[in-house]
This record gives sequence, structure tokens and C-alpha cells, in this order.
Amino acid sequence: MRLAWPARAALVVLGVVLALALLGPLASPWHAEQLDWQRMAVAPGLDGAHWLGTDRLGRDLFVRSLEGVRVSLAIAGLATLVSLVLGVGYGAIAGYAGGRVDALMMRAVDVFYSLPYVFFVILLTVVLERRPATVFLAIGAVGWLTMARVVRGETRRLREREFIEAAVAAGVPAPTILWRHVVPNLAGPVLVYATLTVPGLILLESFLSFLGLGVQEPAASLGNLLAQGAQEMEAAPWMLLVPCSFLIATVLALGFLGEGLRDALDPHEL
Amino acid sequence: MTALAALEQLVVEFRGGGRVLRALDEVSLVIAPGESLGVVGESGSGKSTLARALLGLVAADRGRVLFGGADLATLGGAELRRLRRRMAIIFQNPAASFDPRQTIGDSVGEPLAVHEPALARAARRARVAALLERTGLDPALAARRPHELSGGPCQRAAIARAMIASPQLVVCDEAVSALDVSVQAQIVNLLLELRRENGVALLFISHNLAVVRRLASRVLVLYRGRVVEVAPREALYAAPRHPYTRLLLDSVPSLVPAASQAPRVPPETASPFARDRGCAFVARCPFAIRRCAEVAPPLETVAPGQAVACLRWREGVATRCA
Repeated sequence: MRLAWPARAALVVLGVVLALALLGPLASPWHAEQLDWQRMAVAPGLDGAHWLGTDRLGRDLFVRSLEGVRVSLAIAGLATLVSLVLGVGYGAIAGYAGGRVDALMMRAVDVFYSLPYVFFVILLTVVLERRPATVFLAIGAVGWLTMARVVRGETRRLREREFIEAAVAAGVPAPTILWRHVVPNLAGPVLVYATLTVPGLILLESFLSFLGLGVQEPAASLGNLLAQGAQEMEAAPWMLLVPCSFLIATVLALGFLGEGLRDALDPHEL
Repeated sequence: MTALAALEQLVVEFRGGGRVLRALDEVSLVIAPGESLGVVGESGSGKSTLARALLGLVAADRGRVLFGGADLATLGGAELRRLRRRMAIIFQNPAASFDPRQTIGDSVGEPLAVHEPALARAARRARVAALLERTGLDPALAARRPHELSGGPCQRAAIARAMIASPQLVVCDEAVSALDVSVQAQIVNLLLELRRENGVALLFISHNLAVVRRLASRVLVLYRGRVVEVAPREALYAAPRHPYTRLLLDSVPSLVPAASQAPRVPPETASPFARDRGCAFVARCPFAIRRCAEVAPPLETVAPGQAVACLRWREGVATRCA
């Protein structure tokens, strides 16, 4: 497998962002919720080691943005993992079973799809506490639906292949066929789709947090940093630009990586 | 003679878009233990459907599929799986019939893993290696993946997989059609040897009459889902009774140009969805009379082990111009 250059560049960007998110805060003397009473809303510079400036309360934006990247990536990554397990399991069973079972299972997915999503999340955040776990639950509940559709379609295609028929003819039980022949052969499209799901879910998390439905202060996520930054946009543009740059870099890099993987893992070469 | 497998008045239909395609139309056949039966016919004649129905891979719409005396339709899932130990299939495209993500060894050993779960992994490996060697492959190929093998070796591995659980019937669905001519002969010989050694029955499906002639002791001719002729090999090749069999025989390319002077037969143009009241071959038959379009010819026994579905077989229309 060989990735095209945009995907390789994206891999480098992603590596840098991840390394920064994990190690960067250690380099700064500040931590995410620490207030610097002497330096509120200062612009990026070397003053007090606030390299990317501070927010209205004097919190270090470098550390807070990286904290936000960590939280957003963790939520999106976990939700993708959940959607992977649920979506692959559900989709593969529906696709392999076919007929009435398939129709019934996929109509259930259609029903979930048609629920007004934001309304569903608001309900969830009202009923449950507003914690990252709630956001994660809300995103995970929806993320697996598309994955289930992708996997179901892919499985229908695989089911027509001769090697599956050969396994059936050899008397291999259906669960074994699913686990040993169907799921491994789904790896390509599933990997690509998962890589493309992460940025979508980061944006979704940011959107929810921006609306105040997601991660709550004083915890940082890219979404609520953007929300605060937007309020000070005219007086202190760096408060918006700093978290925004991290968001764009991460989402774009994941997007390019997914595209690159899709090209590299062209099903015809699998 | 007790039958190993049999089809009784089997009808298989495919539905889609409000139309019905009758792939098999009241097909009956009997396979004796250790026998090798050839099935010939052009594309779309129902050969592959016949193979899949015999293995219980497609369901019968009417009629019965019997294997070892049991009706496949009445068996539960577990019983059917157990029965499948006794049958195997070899497909046309050897590369596609192996899981691209598994090693050849794992794929070949899979029937054993399913039907003899008590067998230790090492013992299974040894059986796989021995059989790979028997089919003319280097046992080291067990560690390779299917895309690393070319057609011939891959088809040998497919034969090894078919044989590993010691089945009583192996269905070869165009098993050599995708291979080079030189490789074809080797594979056919391998199948013949294995049949002699193990006494396994072969159902050999092909559009290539020369290959069927090498392998089959009895040949069944399918046309648009119907059996038009069944005959022992010698009788069929020497004196075909059905005009369609005649056409197939005359279509075998010959190095001697003037060898065949059969009447020209128009190509197939009828829709596969159309159901004919009379004989299915009437539009292409050079010997058709008016009655052929009105009456479906029954499959009549014309000699021991030989049957033909043609209203004019008594006149010997197909045999005469040979």
C-alpha cells in the first residue's frame, strides 16, 4: 500500500498535532484551568510564556487549545470505535442474513436516521448530566448508523463472491463465515470510512459544544473554545484563530488521510 | 443401483422486477456413487444453477433435491452442514474462490476444521500438506495467499480443498474453462486420477465438449433450463439424437475446415424470461415442424440409459447429417 503525497503530508500534520496535544502542555509552565491575573487577554508572544496568548480570564490558550484537541479527538475517536463495533456487527449480520431480517434491521436504521438529531441531543443533555460522556453517548448513538449501512452494502457484495459460496458449500456455519471471511474482507472500506468519520464527529462535537450542549466550562474542547473566541472576535481575534487553526489542521489532515487510504485500498487491489 | 444424489422434477426460478426467470425447468437426474456425469449447454442454460441446487446453495421452487436419500429441503441447518461434508464444489475462477485474506493452507484446511474439529492443528496442517503434494503443488504454498498463485496452481489448490474432507460427490462448475489449454489437460488428468483413487462421483459442468468427453461417462445436455438429451458418452458423441446436441458438437472448433457441414443455426435471441409452449429450441432448430412450436416434447427413453426430448427423434434428424 502506498499513500499519495497529500495523505502522507496529512499523516505528518496529524502526527505533529497529536504529539503537541500529548506533550505540548508539559512544555508550558501553565495548565489548562490556571488563571494568570496579571495577563488577561494578552496577544500571542513571549510575555509570561503565553505563546499563543491568553483568554479573557488569563488562561493560557496554547495549553487550553491542546487540551481541547485532546478532548475532541478522544470523544470523536471513542465514538468512531463504538460506531465501528456496532456498525460492523449490525451491518454484517443484516447484509449476510439478507431477505426479511435484512429489511427489518435496515428499516430500524432508517427510523433512527429520521429522528431529529439535535432535538435528540438536547433531550439527552437535559435528561443526563452535561459531561463529555454524554456528548460521547449522543454522538455514538448516531455515528454507527451510516457505518451499518456501508458495511451492510459491502457485505451484500461479498456474499455474492465465490469464496463465500465455497465456505457455505463446505458446511462452515454462518457465524464462522461472518467472523472469518466477511469481517476481514470488510477491513478496507471500513478503515477508510472510519478515518473519514473521525473528522465528521470532531466537527459534530465542536458544533454541540459551540451551542453549549457539549463539553462544559471549565473543561476545554475545540467547540467551547471557539464559542468563547467568537465572542471576543473583534477585540482579540487570536482567541478564535488559535483553536480554529488546530481544528482545521486536525480535520483537514484526517480528511486527506481518509481520501488517501481510500485510493490506496481500492477494493480492486485488495 | 442406489443413487448418491438425485434431482426430481426440479424447478428453480429467480424473481426480480416482477419477472420470473425459470433457470431449471423440471430437471431430473440421478448420480450413482463414483459415477462421472457431464453437463453441457451454452451460457444461460442453467448449468451453474443445477450445480448450486444439487449442493443446496439455491432452494428448489418445486421438485426435490436428494442426497444420500435425504431431501435437502427438509433438513435443518446443522444436518445440512453435516451432509455437506460429503459434497464439494470447484468453481470456474480459482482465484475468486479463495478468501483473499486467508492463506491457501487455511482455506484448503477449512472443511477439515469444520467437520473434524477434534483434529489438532498440526495434524490438519499435515493433511493439507499431503493433499497439496498429491495435487502437484509444493506444500510450502500453504503459506501463500491466493493472489500470489496463478490459475493452474490455484485450481489445484481448489481441488485439494474439495477433496480434503473425502467427499462422495465433487461438482466441477466450469472448473477448467478459465485455464490455459495446456493447464486444462493437466487439471482434467488430475481429476481423473483422484476419481480413480477415491471413487468420488464427479458432476462435471462445462461448455467445452472436448473436456467433457475426456471426463464423463454419461452426458446430460441442458437447453434453456430443460434436459434435452441424456446419453452415455459414446452414444452422444457418435450419434446425437437432439438437434441442439448436434449443434453443440458441430460448434467444437475443428482443425479440419470442411469437417462439419451442418446446417447453419441462428444464434440465441429469445429472452430468457419468455416461456415457450412448445419446444424451447424451436426458433433455432433447422428441423422444426409446426407441431414443435405447439407441443413441448417429453423426455423419452430411446435406448438403455439414453433419453431425448425431441418430437422428431425417431426420424433421426440430428443423427443423420453427422
